[in-house]
Amino acid sequence: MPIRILLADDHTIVLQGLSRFLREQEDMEVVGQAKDGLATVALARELSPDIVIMDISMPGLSGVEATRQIHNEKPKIGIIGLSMHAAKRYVQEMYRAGARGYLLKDCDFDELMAAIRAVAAGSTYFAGEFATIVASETERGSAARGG
Amino acid sequence: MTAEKLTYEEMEAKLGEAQEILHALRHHEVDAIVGDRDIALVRLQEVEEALHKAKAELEERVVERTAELAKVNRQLQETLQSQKRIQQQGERSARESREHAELLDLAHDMIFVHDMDGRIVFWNRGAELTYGWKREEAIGQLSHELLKTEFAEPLLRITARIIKEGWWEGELVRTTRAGRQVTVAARWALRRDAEGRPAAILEIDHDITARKQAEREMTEAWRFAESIIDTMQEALVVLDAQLRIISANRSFHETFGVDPQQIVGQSLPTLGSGLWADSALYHRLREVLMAGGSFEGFEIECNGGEPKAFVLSARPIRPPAHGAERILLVIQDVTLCKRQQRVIEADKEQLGSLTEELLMIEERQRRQIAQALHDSVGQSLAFSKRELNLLRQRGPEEVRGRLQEVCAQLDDAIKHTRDLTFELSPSTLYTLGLQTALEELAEQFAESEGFHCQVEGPGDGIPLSEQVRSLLYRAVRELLVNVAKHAEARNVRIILDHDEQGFRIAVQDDGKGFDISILKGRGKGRGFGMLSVRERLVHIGGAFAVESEQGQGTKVTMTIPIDCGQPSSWGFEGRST
Amino acid sequence: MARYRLRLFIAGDEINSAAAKASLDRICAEDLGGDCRIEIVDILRDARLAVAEGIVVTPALLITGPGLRTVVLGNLTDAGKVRAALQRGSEKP
Repeated sequence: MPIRILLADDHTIVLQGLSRFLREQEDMEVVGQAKDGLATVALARELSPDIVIMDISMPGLSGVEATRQIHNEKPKIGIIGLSMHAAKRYVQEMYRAGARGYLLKDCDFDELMAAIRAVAAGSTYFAGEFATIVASETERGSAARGG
Repeated sequence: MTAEKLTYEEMEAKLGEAQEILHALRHHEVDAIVGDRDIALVRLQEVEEALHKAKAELEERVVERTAELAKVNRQLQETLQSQKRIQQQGERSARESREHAELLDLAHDMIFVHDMDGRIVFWNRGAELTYGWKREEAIGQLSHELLKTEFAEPLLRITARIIKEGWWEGELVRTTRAGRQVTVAARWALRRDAEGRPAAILEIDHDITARKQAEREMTEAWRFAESIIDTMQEALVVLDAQLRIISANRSFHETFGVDPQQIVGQSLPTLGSGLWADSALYHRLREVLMAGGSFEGFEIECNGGEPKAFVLSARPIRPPAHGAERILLVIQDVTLCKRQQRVIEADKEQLGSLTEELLMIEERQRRQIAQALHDSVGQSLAFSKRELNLLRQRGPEEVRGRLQEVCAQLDDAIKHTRDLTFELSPSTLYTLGLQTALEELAEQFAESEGFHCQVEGPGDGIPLSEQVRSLLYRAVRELLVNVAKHAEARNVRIILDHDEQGFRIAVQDDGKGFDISILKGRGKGRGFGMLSVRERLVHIGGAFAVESEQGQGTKVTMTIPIDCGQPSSWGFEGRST
Repeated sequence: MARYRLRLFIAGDEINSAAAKASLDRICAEDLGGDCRIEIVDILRDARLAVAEGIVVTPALLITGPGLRTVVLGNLTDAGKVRAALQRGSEKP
């Protein structure tokens, strides 16, 4: 069964490029596209995809907030942040909201596919430069739970 | 093959374009950015220029107004000084004339006798001393020829009177042996012989030359004083114990539009239809009368008709042991002063508003451009890079090397776009809040400036309007730039804190500190950035406090009252994230 | 020269747009002896053409012809840049 993917980005050029490429992959299927946060939450609720590729800067509801809502409703959906923003705050926020992956928009398709497959398999995928941020977040989380 | 080669060229062209766009943006040659959904007009340079120009013009005006005010103040000071001098002069000449009078009391009178022909028959020691001729030289001389007597009335008439009445009194001017003119108060008495015929005239002269001179000097001094008093800008008025006007100078007449003839005897409280019936003023004036003290700098404002402002000073004239008989009241018209002050205040306020408005426009424009840059340029660069990488993997061997290079350049362009976007307007400030944006800023400073920089705060639960958020962000940035430039600090703490009253940010360093008195000046240099931060804060109702000492570090605390920190109609429209 | 199509994308009367228009007119008169036709496209009236041509910022001068597509950005006060672009165009077959 292919990995069912929902794309969320307000830039047509990004949506087109991503879906064109993902359709070439045999183990992947683009089940929906959304151009704002609210539509993304609604589609995720309706379609229950395996993966949501989430932009951060979107009109209406932000990617961070959409991630939080989807994660709260359906924690099984794997959410991967795909953004222009390289600031580590965004990575932290996305991680705290429930995202299991984060990539910059100019990453290779190879890396994107690796991330999709890893998250779909229940793992996490954060691009190399963000690994330390997530590690310290995980520490923070377990410290909070432990204390 | 041809198709793929064409795609590569397209890619190369796209990169070239991206670099061109960055270049044109950096040189202010761009008018608009065409986004996916909308068009962002770019007028940053215009806003910057207008801001600088307006700021410079208004600052110049404030400087001019301040100089005018200083001039007016100086004039007031000068007239006050001259008024003091006149009073001292008056007191001095009065004292001198008293001393001269005492001198005259001690002087020897000149006494001599001449017969009816005018020949001198007696000549005393006083006459010898004053007129200069010895007794033996004077005897037998014709007195009026010897002394070159100048008469105020014809000698014939004097002689007629003395024969009829037996005496005469009057002033005469005489010339001594040394050629000096002497004014004397002369008393003549007639002596008769045994048959009762006029025989001789006894003359007693009192030298009043010095007194005459003193009187002339006194008159001149008074004229001089009066001319100054009349040309003075301050209104002077002398009041009696019942606060009735005894005399006043020209300025008083002009200021109050009264007739010099009719004013004398009027009571001050009735002047100007009772505008001057100020109970506090009369209390003070009565104190002067009762205790003989004085007061200065009593301010009074008259709002009837044309509004005027005055500063009054009063002092007793001829102060006796208990209270004064008269009061000298000096009235300075400070209307112009006050008006100038108000104009300066208004100008400053206007300058503040305009600056704030322009800064807001600039901030809004920065944000729009940053967003457009992020949306169109950034996204298509990222898209290009990803597609090109794919092409590189799939394309023939011979183009891979060149594609690799193009990708590296695209990477560079993406990084530049990101830096430029952050420089223009940090998106975290609007999406993740002030504290997060400050944390980001602190990390950046720590990395580039080498000091430890930590943000402490309650998290981002405080709702601040976007205007206040951007103002505080820029302010902290300005302060950090200051710290980096001057403080030589090792640790910097940014402390955020809030309660029911308001919101506070403190920026505290352990650097070398500085003398905060430089903040009082208007100079450039270290204080300048702080001053503009302070002006902006004060303008929106906040406060700005600096604590620092040489070698003791610096702590700057900025406070925003809660009511102006709330999100309001000031906030920008646009996307929430 | 008439083989090439010169299109200048501007945003209304904004400073840089007006400057670009004036510069281009001057270059036309001085370098090309007036032998050129310029189409002015105001994106504030209609941005569709700009989007279709991939024009991201204005002012932008788009030079197209057989096998040629060059864009010069900015207010065109640097006449050398425009000349170089035109030169590149005339070298092509």
